[in-house]
Amino acid sequence: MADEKITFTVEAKLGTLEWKKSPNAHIVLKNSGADSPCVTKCDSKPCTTVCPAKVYEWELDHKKVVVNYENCIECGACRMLCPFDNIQCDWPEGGMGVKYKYG
Amino acid sequence: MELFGSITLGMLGYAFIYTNKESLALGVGCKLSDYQKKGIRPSDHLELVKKHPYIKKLISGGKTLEYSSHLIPEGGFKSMPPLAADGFLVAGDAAQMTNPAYREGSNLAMTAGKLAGETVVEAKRKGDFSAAGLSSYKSKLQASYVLSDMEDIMDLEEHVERSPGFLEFYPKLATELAHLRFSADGVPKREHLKTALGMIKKRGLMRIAKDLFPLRKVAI
Repeated sequence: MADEKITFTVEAKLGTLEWKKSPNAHIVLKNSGADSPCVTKCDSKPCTTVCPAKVYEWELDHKKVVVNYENCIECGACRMLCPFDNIQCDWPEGGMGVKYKYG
Repeated sequence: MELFGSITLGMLGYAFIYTNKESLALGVGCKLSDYQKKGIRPSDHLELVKKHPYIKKLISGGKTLEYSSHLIPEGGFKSMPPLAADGFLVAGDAAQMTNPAYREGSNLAMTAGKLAGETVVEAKRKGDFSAAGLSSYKSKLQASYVLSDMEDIMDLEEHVERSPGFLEFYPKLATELAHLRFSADGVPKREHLKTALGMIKKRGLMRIAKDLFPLRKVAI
């Protein structure tokens, strides 16, 4: 059963954390429309694999990248990640965002 | 404890277990662009590390207390921003102050923070917070270990990336040499030595010289 304890999905891992949620999105796509590079140019969509908190999800049905900014654990990777520079990620406003207890 | 070699799936990085007083920090980190190219989810990579037979044994029965992640700005000496400008100083991550060869960074940030504080005290005394007035910050950093260490490692990552097979060969060589050294297997030691030299010759002495010479600044 030791195996079960250490086999975690991203969702379960996020369950170990707490957030002070802000109503304001600190991450936005510069262009989220049908003509955005996510739809027209980006095949690999690295934001959907590299983000450790699954903030970015490709919704096939609606042909768009959904940004679950509430999941963000503030690693900063997406600030350098988008091949088309379509992600605008700032830090959440003061006092908001993820709360780490262990560092 | 740090793990190199196949555990990084061909990417530049390493996995680690650090001991805290009441817990362990277990993680894995590789170059962002490598994750980007490979399409490997860092969280899945962490699970692979945890399933490695050696690690699994060590953490069996343990419980995940917290999940975290952070980008480490390892651009280094060549990609540092101006360290002083009108009205502000830059220290720590924001100034790319990391030393991946020695797993350092927080110490650089603390030293830089202290030197920035001293610079600000001087600037207040002079009443001059302009970039010129704050420029002694950089000379203070130059006189400390911060900038000299960063300068000494500035080409290291490119060197390792440009040396084909580096991250596979050396971890493997190290483990095999240790294995030979500590094996009481009834084989004459001179045979062990032959096996070891064979491994080294396979990579080629010139290749090894090219691999290792640029590492001389980080030898100790």
